[in-house]
Amino acid sequence: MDEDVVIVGGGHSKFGKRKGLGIRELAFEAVESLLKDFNMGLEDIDASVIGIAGEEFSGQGAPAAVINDEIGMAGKPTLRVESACATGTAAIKAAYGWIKAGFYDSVLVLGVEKMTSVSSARATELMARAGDVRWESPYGCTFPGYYALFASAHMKEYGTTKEMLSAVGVKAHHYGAMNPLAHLQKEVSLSEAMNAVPIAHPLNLYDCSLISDGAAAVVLTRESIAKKFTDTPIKIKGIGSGSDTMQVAQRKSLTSLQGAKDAARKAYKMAGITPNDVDVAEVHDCFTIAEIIATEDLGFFEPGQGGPAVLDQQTYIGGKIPVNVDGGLKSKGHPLGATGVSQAYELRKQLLGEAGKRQVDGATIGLSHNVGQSGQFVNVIIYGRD
Amino acid sequence: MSVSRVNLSMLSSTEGIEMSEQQAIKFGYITYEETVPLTSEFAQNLLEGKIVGKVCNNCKAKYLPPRNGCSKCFSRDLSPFEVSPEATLKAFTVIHFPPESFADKAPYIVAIGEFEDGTAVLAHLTGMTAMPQVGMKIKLVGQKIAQDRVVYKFVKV
Ligand SMILES: [Zn+2]
Repeated sequence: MDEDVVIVGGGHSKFGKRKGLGIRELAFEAVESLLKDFNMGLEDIDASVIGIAGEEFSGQGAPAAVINDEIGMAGKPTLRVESACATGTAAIKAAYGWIKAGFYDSVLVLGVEKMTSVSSARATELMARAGDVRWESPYGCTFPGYYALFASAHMKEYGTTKEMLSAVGVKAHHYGAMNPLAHLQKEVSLSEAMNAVPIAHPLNLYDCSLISDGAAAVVLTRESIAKKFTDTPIKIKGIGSGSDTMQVAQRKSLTSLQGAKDAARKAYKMAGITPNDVDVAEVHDCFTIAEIIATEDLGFFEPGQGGPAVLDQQTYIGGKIPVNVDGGLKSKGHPLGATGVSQAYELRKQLLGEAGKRQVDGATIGLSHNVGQSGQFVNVIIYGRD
Repeated sequence: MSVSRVNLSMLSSTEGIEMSEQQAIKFGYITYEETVPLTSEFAQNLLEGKIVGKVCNNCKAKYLPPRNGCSKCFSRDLSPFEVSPEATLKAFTVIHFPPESFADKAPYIVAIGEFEDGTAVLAHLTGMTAMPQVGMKIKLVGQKIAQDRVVYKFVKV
């Protein structure tokens, strides 16, 4: 299959504490939203890929089947994809591969997670088990903890400050306040952000993404048949992936993610672009330090300059590279399996000029950076308007 | 999935109790997976005050924590090597919001220390009276915390 793969539709549930809704209702809501600007129903979709990171949150084993049925696709092939917090982009990549291989013409990708059904302490425990359960999890390092380790090394190496970390959270909430789908739609001041309750020093509550419920969906198809679904397809121009050692202690660097640098290099090469060509970026800000490191790993700023760039508002709309202008994982929320698909949804809106108050004027190239665990899975996907 | 928990209130009250030879010693404050011989052997060495990794006799790759086989050349011919406990603090955090199983232990410091031979592990850092400084000298020691359980931890030199 030589032609390009394009996105012809996007849907998104409200993210948040969605009491009373399970994974199937969340998935339904995302597809219902997708169908609003879609030329038809799902009858011409050949298969689905379901991204969901854990079944211990929802209680449902083999969750792809129940979701595939709920969205009216029973009888059509489905697959569950899991790459921790990078599950959503892994699902998009799987669907891309299916279409490129010629198995199917059109595939629905749906990412979903129901997380607030358990306590925050329980959720922290379940996520900590995605660390090395033999050698590292037995010491009670949490996910904020792993990124806090990176933060301590980044602060020592480059002089990154607590204020720079907090400034990332302030920006996230600034844009999240304008996003009706976001979990927390409120502005936060720098002093509030700097003085919040500690989670894993130096990270506090406003440095950490939210534990959220939600779902997002996109439809991928071959470029030559895109017109039957939409007049405005968005092209997948490049995909790159990387990984790293399971134990964080074995990393060569604690101030960058090698997997992200590898993924970015491959994605830029496939798309035939450089970091300077990117108009808007969705990066995996599971923690504020993660966004700073991401903007360095992606080549937007030199190593050590990601923090100062935030203080200088270089990652706001109007700055060098607008980052997470939907609120990011911090304010929009982070339902694990949905996050990478939500990034695709947002970038599609940006490239179509439909992002409203958060629109980056004239955006033609968007980049999605999605990290699983603490860098063991990374996918970078580049989307283009043509 | 069952998770066996150590009763943290009993920590440090069991020093000096004899281990039975048959009992597999567990490693860490909590066990999430079945204890395998590789882990209990590592824990037994730790009880004797030794940090023992594995080195591949074929390609010389070093593994700390140890592995049964070499992930680089797939040789099964590995020998133990002892690591000198002096280390440098590479990174740290203070966990204030812990996983459910560590609820009564927080706050605690989690640190990555690198040994002189370049190997590194993640462990708690204890005995600090002020905030740790990345780059400071630390040392890894073993501590028996229950009759069948041992941990390692960094202490300030
Ligand atoms: Zn070898």
